[in-house]
Amino acid sequence: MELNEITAVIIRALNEILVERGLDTVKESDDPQLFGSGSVIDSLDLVSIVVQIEEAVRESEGRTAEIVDENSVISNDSPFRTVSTLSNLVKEKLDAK
Amino acid sequence: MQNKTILVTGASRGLGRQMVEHYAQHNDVIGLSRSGTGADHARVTNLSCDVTNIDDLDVCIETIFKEFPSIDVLINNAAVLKSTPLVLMKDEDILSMIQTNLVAPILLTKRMVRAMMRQRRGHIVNIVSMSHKLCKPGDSVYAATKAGLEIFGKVVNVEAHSSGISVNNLAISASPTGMLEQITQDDPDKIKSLIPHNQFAKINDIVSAIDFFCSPDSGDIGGQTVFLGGI
Repeated sequence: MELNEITAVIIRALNEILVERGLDTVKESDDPQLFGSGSVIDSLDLVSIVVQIEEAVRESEGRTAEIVDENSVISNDSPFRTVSTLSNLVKEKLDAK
Repeated sequence: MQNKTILVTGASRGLGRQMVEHYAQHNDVIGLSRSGTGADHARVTNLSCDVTNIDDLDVCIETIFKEFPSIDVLINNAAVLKSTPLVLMKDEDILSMIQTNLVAPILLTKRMVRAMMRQRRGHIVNIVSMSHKLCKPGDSVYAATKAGLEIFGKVVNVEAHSSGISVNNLAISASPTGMLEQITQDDPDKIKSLIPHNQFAKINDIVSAIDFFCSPDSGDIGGQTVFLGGI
């Protein structure tokens, strides 16, 4: 999957949640925050987004992708904090395999 | 429930088969069991699957989603019971109960919750037991697996609630199935006397509770355990 496809999956999953909550949807150019005090979603919402990314990778590339590992969770500079950092993390994981 | 797709484990016999037959009247039902046998009905798909085997489980899940675009309800029903005092229980029976009653529903639930997260909806009902309330001698391992499954369901409910998924537990008093015969051996009144309502669970009571958990009006009902029989 290309970076823009990964970002589209994340934005789509995020907007599904925001619509359910009656909140305004977001665009890629907003680079919305996903994790931390400025995020409008909580950590369990983030889990569901990660699941949707992994499923999209499986459908697109026919392989499993484990986005979350011990290193990414404990990092101080969390790659989960925004849509762009998460997209880059996923791309790095896919390219590394 | 009507017009749903329902996945039932332990579907070849006993309570699982009764639930499949009931729900197939108005729903599409997938029955999982090791044998792959079960109710013969136009709206029932019986699949053979050893849910404790990860490779077998993943093949089975793939087969299911090729035929059914979504699963609305998962009923974790499959269980085995060997009622023997622990010190006399065979090690293979201990491991078999833990695998079938606890590990298998955990592995299956993980996969179904992932799919339900994409749908943004879904219900999971764990069939648990009165055994961990009664503490009947012989049921130590069985009761431990069912208590474990109950707590597992409560925690997963919290993890999945924001994705539109509920997980609840239905603790049935003994039900007249093959498992009951194993408990009671030749004395059904003995086990009946342990149940406050002094009667065995009926299929109508069981499906009524499941329907309640899965009702569109039960959106805030999750992580709960309903005990039948007055327990």
